[in-house]
Formats: sequence, structure tokens, C-alpha cells
Amino acid sequence: MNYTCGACWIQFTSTKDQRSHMQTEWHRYNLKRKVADLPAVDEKTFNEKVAKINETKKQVDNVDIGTNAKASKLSPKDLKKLQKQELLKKKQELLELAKKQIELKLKRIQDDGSLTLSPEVEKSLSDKIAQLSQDIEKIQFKNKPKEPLSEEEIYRKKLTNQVEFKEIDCLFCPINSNKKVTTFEENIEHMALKHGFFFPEEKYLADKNGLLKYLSEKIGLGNICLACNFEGRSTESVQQHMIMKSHCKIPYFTEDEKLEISEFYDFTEYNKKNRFRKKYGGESAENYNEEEEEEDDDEWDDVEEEEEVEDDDVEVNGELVVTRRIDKNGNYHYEDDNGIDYSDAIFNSGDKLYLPNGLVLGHKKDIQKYEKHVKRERTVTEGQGTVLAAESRHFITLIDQKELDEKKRTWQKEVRDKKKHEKNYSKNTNNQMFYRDQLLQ
Amino acid sequence: MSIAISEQDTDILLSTKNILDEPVLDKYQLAGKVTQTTLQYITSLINSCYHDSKKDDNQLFSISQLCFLADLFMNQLLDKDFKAKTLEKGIAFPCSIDIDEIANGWSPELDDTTVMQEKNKDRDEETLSNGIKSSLKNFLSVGDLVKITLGCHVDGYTSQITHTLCVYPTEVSPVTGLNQASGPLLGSKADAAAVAHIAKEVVSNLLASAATPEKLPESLKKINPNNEAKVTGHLIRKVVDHLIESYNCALVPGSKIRRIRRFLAGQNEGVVAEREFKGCVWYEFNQETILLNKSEQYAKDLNSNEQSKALTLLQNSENNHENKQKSAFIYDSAIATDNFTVLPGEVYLIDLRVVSLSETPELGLVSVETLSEFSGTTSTGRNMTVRNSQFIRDFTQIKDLKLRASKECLTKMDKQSVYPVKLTYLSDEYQQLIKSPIELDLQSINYTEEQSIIMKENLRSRMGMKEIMDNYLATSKPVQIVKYIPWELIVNLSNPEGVKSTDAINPTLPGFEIPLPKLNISSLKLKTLFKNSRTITLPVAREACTVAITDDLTYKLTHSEPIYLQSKYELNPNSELTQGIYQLVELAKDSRFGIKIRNVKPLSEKSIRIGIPDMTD
Repeated sequence: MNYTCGACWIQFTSTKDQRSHMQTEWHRYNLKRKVADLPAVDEKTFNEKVAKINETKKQVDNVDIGTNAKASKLSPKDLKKLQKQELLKKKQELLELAKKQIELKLKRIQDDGSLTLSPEVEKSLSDKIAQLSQDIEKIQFKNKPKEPLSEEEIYRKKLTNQVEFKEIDCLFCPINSNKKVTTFEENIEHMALKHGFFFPEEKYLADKNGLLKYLSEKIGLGNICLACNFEGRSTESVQQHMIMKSHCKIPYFTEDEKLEISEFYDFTEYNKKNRFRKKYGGESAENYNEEEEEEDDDEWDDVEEEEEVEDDDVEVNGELVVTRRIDKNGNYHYEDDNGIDYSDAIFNSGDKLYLPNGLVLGHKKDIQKYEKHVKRERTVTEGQGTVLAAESRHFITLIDQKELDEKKRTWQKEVRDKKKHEKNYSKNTNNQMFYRDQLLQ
Repeated sequence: MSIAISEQDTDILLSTKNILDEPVLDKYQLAGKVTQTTLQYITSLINSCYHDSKKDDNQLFSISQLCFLADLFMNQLLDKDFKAKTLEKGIAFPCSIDIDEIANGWSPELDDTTVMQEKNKDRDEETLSNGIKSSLKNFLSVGDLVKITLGCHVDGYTSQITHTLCVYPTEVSPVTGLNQASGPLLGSKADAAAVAHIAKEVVSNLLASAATPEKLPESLKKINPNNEAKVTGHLIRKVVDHLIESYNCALVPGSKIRRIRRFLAGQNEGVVAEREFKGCVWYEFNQETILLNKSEQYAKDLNSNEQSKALTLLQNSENNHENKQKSAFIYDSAIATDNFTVLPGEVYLIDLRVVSLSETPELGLVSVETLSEFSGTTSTGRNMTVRNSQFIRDFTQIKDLKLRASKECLTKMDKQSVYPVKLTYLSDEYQQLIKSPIELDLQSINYTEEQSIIMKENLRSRMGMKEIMDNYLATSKPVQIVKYIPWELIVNLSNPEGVKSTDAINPTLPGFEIPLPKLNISSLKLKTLFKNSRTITLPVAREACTVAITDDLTYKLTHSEPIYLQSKYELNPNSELTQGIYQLVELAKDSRFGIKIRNVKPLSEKSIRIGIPDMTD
């Protein structure tokens, strides 16, 4: 049975059936759902949905048919046009009325010199004007877009709608639906099994309750999906969204995502281990494996390393390891093991940190570059200098590195020139205008 | 990587900085004061626990403890002085306490003794000689001839002192009620100690007369070629040899009277071949020459055709040693010859090691044997295995080390100066101890806690030092003992390898590869004789001091008083040379018209407490 439909998750016995299926509305609907990352619905549900929609449509039609029969057929653009025309018409009427009023007044002045019209005429005219202007206002108001709610209002609204999650409430199932779960651990297990929800870097998660509380607030109060930035109308809608789109997870990929929940984590242990590996080269197998597992999140804690520079003391102790922490305001703090603050760095160029004392801290990603062995200039104290100056053993050969390099270059050049010359020579001697067979000479 | 000290720098470092002007002299004097004060300190330590009262072993200071305390005291003194100025200063010669036949280098670390006892536990107590037995026990015993060597430098200006002490049996004095020695030191040890002291004093007078050579007695002038009024190497050698001979003693090879310069005080002899070396050094071949001269004389006296075997050997052997030495001198001024004149403005180190020959059964050669660090080697023979504690950095060697421990160790070593270091000096705990105030009350010295920390730190340093030594970045200073080999053994020695075989372990200067050139005995052959049962050990007396000669005054930077002893020998008053020496000593006593010498005194107790150098004499 090779005849399937990927969108509707069904099988067919023949091509004919398949083809006919492809033309159905149901299939189209499922295609659209597939594009939207939603699971397919079966035919029965689809028919129910269609029936439901039809029913509501009918009701609406029934209501609207009398009043807006015409309007319902028109597109919103046309509707707007129509309204505009109406408004224009009304305005013109108003203008005409005003004109009439003025003409009448002028007539009266010409006729008898009085400035006022007869009270009846005056009243009817002014009434009409008032009526028209009211109509215009109404139409204008109708056309005006609704004003968005202010932040405060939204907040207030959300607070009133807030759903509070308890420790044993699943974040994704509709609230109070899950009666079996009795403890916090069971709840987490439920979420893991049912929804595939897990905590990233659980080993270093210091405050699990806090993190869960934060997430529940995000869903219950903010109505925001954990994985994407979808904002639902209500808690239920967000929950539905997450289940349907399999968004029951904490994103943990980009820096921002990591920072969002960083306050619940404690990476000091990891940093310590990392330093241990640096110091002792991660020789023991056990250590090494551990580190391998953690390789993925190496970037996160940004253990930075000292570039080998002039300072003698630092060189002796090996690398200077600085940990970067981010506080709630999003500012970076640089600290080393002894708690010395390096936040007063002069300049941070992204992967290098220039400290006021002249040291440059490098980023971990360039560790290979920095670990490369750099020969340091040897400084000789007076005592050493004296002993060396007085030394008369013959095996010390005083080689000037610059001179040696120069010599090497010359040798290389000589060899190259020689080869070039040979090549040219052989090429020239081999240059024969015409081929002559030796036997025919 | 290339190391080259430019010509200008060489000139500054070797010449300009060695001009003996006022500030330099001050530094030399300070170094001398500190050295002498430390000697006083360690002497009082030894007296307090070995002489003054009867104590059981637990209360005694062990040898390693004494070394530690002396080093610490010296460092603390130096740390107090010149505090404001950042000079290179520190220990130039780690305190070493050599007993009897041990000639030099016994300065055990705190934990060394247990290790050495463990290493030597299989050895028979009976076969070990006295000095080694005491050293291995780590405590001094009555009758031991104890040589204390100390030295410090201030900005590279070095002073050294070696003094010979004796552990006396004590008795309560009827007059004062205090413990005192029950009698003077007698016998061969006394002869050696006496002549070492006398020779040191005479030589320092001789050096002092370099400022006014015209005052030299006529009989001494005669020794010089052309009867010149100068203090030459020949003169010094002659005088010393004469004194030593009159007491029936011999100088141990390696004894020397040499000029010292800034940072070049002979601390790394054996590592560095020092340019422009100036001084007398006694080698094995000097004894050979004396012997051959004697046998020649003897042959002449006999007036017979029969010649001694040695003389035959002498005639057969190619006498090219002198030529070699001469040619070497032309190319390399690192080789010691007697062709030098002592000039004012120079500083000299007198370091004499003397053994008495009065208890030797037959004529023989005095030589030094280096004790091995490795157990199980054939060369050790009946001797013990030691662990060397002093390390000298060889700055010409460059190598990147692999271990973290060795890298750290090397960095610390380079921060110390160019002088020998012990692992203790590299320990952080020790560096902190230096900063602490000096404990002057001998009874309340207690550094048990600190010492255990230092010992722990030493373990790591020792691991690092292993790699450093394997890469020849540093070498250890050996422990040497004095051996007496009968000439008969040497002369009867077959030498099939010829003289070309040299000892790679103990490198020598060019021209000195063969210890006995006229007898054609190589150093390896001589080494085999150390194991012979007829070879014996001899107790050594050693005296060393530093003398700075200026145009108008000679400073004896380090000075020590002779010990309580009595020798049966005295100088032959009929000899012309002896008369000359007597006159010289008289001159030195005459403060108005004679040779002007000033003894630099140790720091007063007050200045030790306050920590201000007392520069007024």
C-alpha cells in the first residue's frame, strides 16, 4: 500500500482514491495545518468543524442580512469607500444648508433690514444642521481605528486574568485537570514523560523551584509561550499552543536565552573543574570524559584566559582565569578566583579584554593560539651577567639569531637561483625548431 | 637563543664595578660583619648545647638544624640591613658543617639525614671513618674537628669565612664554676688546626703588604725573580709551603689563595671556568713535584748509579705538562699560575685546607674523593652514599623544561643570585621566616612547625630539581672527603688505558686532566685507589678569610680567633724564610710604620636588634 497522504496521515488502496482525496477540502485544510506546524485532523473532526463554522455563519448572516445585506457582500475596501462617499454627501448637504441659511439672511437684510430670520425657519434650519453634523461625527467615529489599550490597562487586565500555578500543577495541561500528581517531583516527571519537558544543564541548576515558578508566571500571567514569543489571549490558549506546536521546552541556545534563566544556575563547580583540567592537562580519563560531556556549554561561562605577556608573576602561576558573570541589570562582571574584580577594564573588543595594568585577557575560543609556546626574552640580572661575562668555557657558541636568519635566507636564495638557472639552461638547449629523426640524418 | 654580554657590559661588570671605592668597601665590610656575626651565632649555638651543659640528644641541635638556623640568621640579618635599597644580597655560601675528614659540602637539608641513614643502613659501622659516622648520626661528638663555612654577599660583594672548631670534653672550672674545656686539643688534629690558622694569618699579612711592598723583609724579597719587592704568587706559595712543611702537614688539593671579584667568589668553581683567574691553587701535581724533587735529592745524596723507580719514571715520561699549562695560559686566563702580582685594590680569598701527616704510616699523596649520590656504584667502595644539598645554576645552559614543578623551581632559583642554593631557600615558608624578627634567645629557638612545612615544600622542589639536573641547568656541589694514598700503591699502578682517559664526572680545566702528569696516572686510575685498604682518611683543618687590600689600609673582612690547642711542632728559627716570616708578623703588629691592617668586627648586639648597620669601627 504505497498510496499515502502525508498531510492527513492516511493510506489508500488505489491511486484513484488518493487522487480524489487530494481534491477534497479536508486535505487542503490539513495541508495548511501542516504548513503551520500543527498535527493533522481526521475527517470526522474536520466535518464537525465545518459544520460548526457553517452554523455560526448562518447565524451571523441571519442577523446581518436585514441591515447589512449589501455591506456583507462588499469587501472592506469598498465599504470604506462607501462610507467616505456617504460622509462627503453629508458634508455637502451641510454646506448647502449653511449656504441656504446665509442666502436667506441676506434676503432678509435686503427685504426689511432686520438681521434675524423668522423663528420657524431659523429653527428648522439649525436643527437640520445639528442633525447633519452629528451624523458626520458618527461616521467619522466609526471610521476611526480603535485606540490600543495603555500598558497599565493591559497589565491590570492580565492580573485579573492571572492563573496561579501550584507546585503540583502541570504547566501545560489545563489547570486542575491533572488529579493524579501529588508531589513536585511527580509533577516534573509527568511533564517530562507527557510533554517532553526537561531542564537544560540540570547538574548546575541551583534553584529548580524558582525556575519553575518563573516559567509558570510566564505562562499564567504573561500568557507567553516558553519556546517562541507567541502571546496567547489566555492561559489556556498558550497552553494549547505549546502542546500543539511541541513548544514544551526551555530554549537554551543563544546567549540571551541562557541569560534569561541564568540567575537560577550556579556554574562555580564547573569553572573549578575546568580550571583543574587546564592546570593538569586533563590527563586522567575520568576527568576527560566529564569534560567532553560539558563541551557544549563551554562558551557559556566564558572562562577567559591570560595571553602570555610581560608580567613575570602571572607567568609563574600559569594562566590567569577570569570568570564573567552577568548581574540582573545585564552588566558584565569580571572576577578571578581570588575575587579580584577586573570590571575596570579599559576596553573590551569582544574577544579581548584590555586591563588597566597592561595585561590583555583573551577569549577561550582562541586558547590554541595562546597556548602556543612563545619564547620569552631572557633577562639577565647583574649577577648572572657577571658570571656569564667571566665564563671562558669554549662550548658556548654565541649565535646571533638575526645574522643566522639572514644567512639562511641567502643560502635559500642561492639554491633557488641555481635551480632556476639550470631550468632555463635546459629549456634553452632543448629548444629545437624542427624535429629531425636521428636515423634519417 | 643566544647569550652574549656585550663588550661594554663586560667591561662594566668585570672592571668598573670592582673598583674598590668607598661604597664598594662599605658593602664588603657589611658582608664581612654579617658573616662574622653569623659565625659567632652558630658558635654560641654549638657551645650552648655541646659544651655548656649536659643535655640528652633530644635537646641538642642536630647538624642539619644548625645549618638551617645559621642560614636563617644570616638571611634575617641581611634582610634588616639595607632594607630600603633593592640590592642583590643573600647567602653566598650555605652554612656547611664538615667534621674531620670531610673537606667541604656537608650542609644537609632538614630531612636529608633520615634519607642518608636509610641509604647507608647496610654499611658496617666499623668500616666508616669518624667524621662520616658523626655526620651520619647528625650530631657532633667529643673530639670532632668541626669546620664551619659561611658566606654572604651584599650586591655581589662577597665575604667568606671558614673556621675550625673542636668539640672538647668539658669539666666544671674550680674558679668560675662554669663548664670549660678539660684540656687543649693535641695530636695531629692540633697540628693541622694550628698551622692552618698561622698560615692564614701570615698570608693575610703578606697580602696586606702588597700596598707597601718595599716594606717586605729581604729574605722574602729574595724568593721573587730578580729580588723584586712585590707580592707574587711564587712568594705566597713558597711561604705557605714552608709553614705547612714545618708542621709536618700537607695542603689538601683545592686549597687556594685567589682574587675574588663581584659575584665571582669561587662559588661556582667546577661549573664556570672563570676568565682572568688570579691566584695560587694547590693541586695533586704540586705534591708530586715535591716528592720527585726529594727523590732526586736523595739519589744525589746516595751518589750511586742506582736510581729510584720514581726517578726512572720521571726521565721516561714526557715532561710536557708545563708546556701545556703555558699554552693554555696564553689562550685562556682561566688557568691558575703563580705568575701574578698582588695589587692594592683587589680582594683576596684565603682558603686553606690542611691535614697532618704525623700519624701516617708511609709517604703518600693527599687527595680528595667525591662521595657518590648513588648507592651500589663500585666507586663508593667502603664509603657512604650522600645526598648533595647545594645546587649551582649553570647559566650558559638553556632548555625548556616540561614539568611545572621544575619550571617553578628554576624560576625561584634564578631569582636567587648566582650563588649555590639549598632547596630550603626556595621554599615560600622560609622566605616568610626571613621577614620575621630574629630570635636572639638561644633557649627559645623553636621552628618545628615551620620546618615541617619547609620539608613538605622541599619534596616538590626536589622533584623539579631532578629534571633541572638532568638537563644540566644546574649541578650539585659534591661532598668531598680527604684520602691519603701511599705512593707505593700509585707507583706500582699499571696504567694500560694510558693518560688519555679522563674522568667525565669531575671536569677539570684544560691542562689539568691528569692529576699526576709526571707519573702518568690518570684521574680514573687514582679513583680506583680510593678503595684500597691501605688508603686512609685524614682529618682536615680548614681556615678561610676574605681580605680587601686598599692603598692605605687592608681590611680583614672576616676574622676568627684560634682555638685552644697545643702543637708539638714549631717553625725552625734557623731558616731564613722563618726569619722573614717573623719580621713580617712584627711589621703587621707595628701600627705606625708597619703594615696597616684592620679587622672588621662583627655587628654589635644592639645593631642586630635595631637592624641598622653599624658602619663605624
